[in-house]
Amino acid sequence: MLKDSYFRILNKENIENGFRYEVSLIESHPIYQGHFPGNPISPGVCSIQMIRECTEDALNKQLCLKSINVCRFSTLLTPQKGVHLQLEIILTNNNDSVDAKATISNDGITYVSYKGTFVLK
Amino acid sequence: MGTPLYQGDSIKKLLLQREPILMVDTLYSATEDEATSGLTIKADNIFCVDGELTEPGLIEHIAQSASAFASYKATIEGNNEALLGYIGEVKKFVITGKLPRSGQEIRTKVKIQQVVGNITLFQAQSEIDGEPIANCQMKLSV
Repeated sequence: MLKDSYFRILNKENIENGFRYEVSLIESHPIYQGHFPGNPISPGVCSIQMIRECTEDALNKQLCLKSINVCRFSTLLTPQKGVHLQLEIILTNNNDSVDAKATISNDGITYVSYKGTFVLK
Repeated sequence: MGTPLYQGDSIKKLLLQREPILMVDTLYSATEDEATSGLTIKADNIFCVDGELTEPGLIEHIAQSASAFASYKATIEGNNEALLGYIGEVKKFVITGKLPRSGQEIRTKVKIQQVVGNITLFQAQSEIDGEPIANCQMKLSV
């Protein structure tokens, strides 16, 4: 839904128990017309959707977002040209669900920390 | 329920979000610490995939429901402008029913649990036709 329109995946690498994605935000996405007019701020829920889409990419599976234990938006995120974000996801596979712990950060600043469960569609 | 407090265009007095991410269309009622909002899903909603509202869209609706309530309370106290609300934290979010489809209306009840400075902690429950579909706790900064 958001991949290639709201954000781009620039790089992907395996890490222990998970994946690290390098992504960039696309400033021209229409969502910024409304969030907010004259003051573009990346919606927190779009960060959640990015985490979901990267997890789907990593597992090559479609996922339902079943639950979120906690998702903290510690710093406001804005779509800045040329800024690359690191999206790290640690995955724990269960029978028909997968637990994900993820962070979105850059340059020592953590924007989002996420802990939740996806279920296979 | 009687006449909604805010509906359609007038909801823009309570929220700074605009198309394509305006995710509340009605504030049905409000008391000191609780309010009920509504959103009828349109097929071209930016969070809809194949006619179904995805979970992040539901979370955004919940956040804007709380934001609209916060603006409403400020209006009662004489403030004329909508408040800018950011989600600080989502906690214990669970999908308990089917995701909303285009044409359906989500009704969400938000209940304030605590206010510390400009951060409000609230509990939210969303329903479609009286059936619960999701609930969560949320911290909103205004």
